[in-house]
Amino acid sequence: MLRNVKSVGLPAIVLLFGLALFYLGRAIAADADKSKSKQNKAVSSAPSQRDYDLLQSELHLAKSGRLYMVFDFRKRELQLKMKAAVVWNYHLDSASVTDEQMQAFAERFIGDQKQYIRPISGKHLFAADKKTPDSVLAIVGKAVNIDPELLQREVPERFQLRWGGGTLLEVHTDVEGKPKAPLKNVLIQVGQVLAKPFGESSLEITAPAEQALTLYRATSVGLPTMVYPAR
Amino acid sequence: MKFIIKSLSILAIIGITSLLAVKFLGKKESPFGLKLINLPSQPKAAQKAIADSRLALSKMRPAGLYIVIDTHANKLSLRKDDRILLQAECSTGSGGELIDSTTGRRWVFNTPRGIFKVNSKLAQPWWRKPDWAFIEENEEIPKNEKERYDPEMLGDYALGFGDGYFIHGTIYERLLGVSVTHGCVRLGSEDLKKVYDKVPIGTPVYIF
Repeated sequence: MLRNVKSVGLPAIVLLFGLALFYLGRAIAADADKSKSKQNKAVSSAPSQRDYDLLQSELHLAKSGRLYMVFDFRKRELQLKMKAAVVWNYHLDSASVTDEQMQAFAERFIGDQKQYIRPISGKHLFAADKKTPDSVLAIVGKAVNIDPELLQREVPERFQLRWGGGTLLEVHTDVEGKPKAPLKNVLIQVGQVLAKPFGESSLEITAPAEQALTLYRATSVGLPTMVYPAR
Repeated sequence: MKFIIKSLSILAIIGITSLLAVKFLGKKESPFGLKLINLPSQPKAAQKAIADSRLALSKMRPAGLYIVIDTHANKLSLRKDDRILLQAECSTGSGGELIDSTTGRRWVFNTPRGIFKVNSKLAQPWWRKPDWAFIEENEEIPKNEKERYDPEMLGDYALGFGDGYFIHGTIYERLLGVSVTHGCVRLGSEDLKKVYDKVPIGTPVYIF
């Protein structure tokens, strides 16, 4: 009997202890980072140094001439830019995104490592609808000698963009779409629920379909992104 | 006793591994080669460094009007500073491919992305049909140059932005909003006139 307990119960105890230690370790590391962050703030996050860092970061992105994304919380805007010029923008109204959420998002995005630029690390389309009926595109495609599939655009009902550091943007529209990959949808949601207690900051917006279409199609994994905190 | 030592060792290994994972996993991202410089310690020098950076950034932005073409939603907008002065439905490149079976020549019909400038403005433009226009229609490429010209296809105006690409009108206005072109940007006649009237040569064109 005791042998059975040993063979089954002990590995389980070891596993439980291991998990407990893992979470304890994370908590300790987070605490250490927090206190380090407080010290850093006192020393180097004087407003002008952070302003300078942000300016240098945008200059660096703008010089490339390529598309980049900016959460400009000073203007309450989500922007796509090229060479410092705004080519697409969406106003983040206070009803859907609060000042506190913007602050938390900015702090987590930049983090203690001062990551002023982060690439989009994940993108997931939960559900979407076809912009134009296939039957219409079949006729158009035939008339203009183009594969109808090339003409089709998926208008998202819901999609997510993720960055490192536990930051996430979720975009909804009023489009009634069809789930793209139901199993993956569930797995991603479960993963996020599990990750939440360990720190995640998400913004959720409901955008007009056309705006969401551009944001969904123009953003790809790797797209450099930066955040201007409100203050 | 042996068992306790074994268990403690396993726990220690798990704990240390977890701490190391927490410590180093978050550092994987590339900062895009950005090297941050510290602000000069003197207040005046610090102010100047910030002002210089702001100026450098604002110099990159277009000073006046600029055109933005969103190939994803097939929208053209005319912007100035933070304002949208005009927004219109357009058609951009289909992404389709054409291969000439006799010569093996290949064309991909994309609207180029990047930053360009309006380098020509034409009223009542004629289209000089390139080879692909004949190949696509299974027609023979004419030997007589005059047979290449079409006075109607481009509408009333055309604004060139380099490499043979134009913002122009269309006889297929019902297809605006769909990506059906060979790379040019088609606009409806009313919007095209407004853009043509407002935009001078040299206006930046941002395409994404």
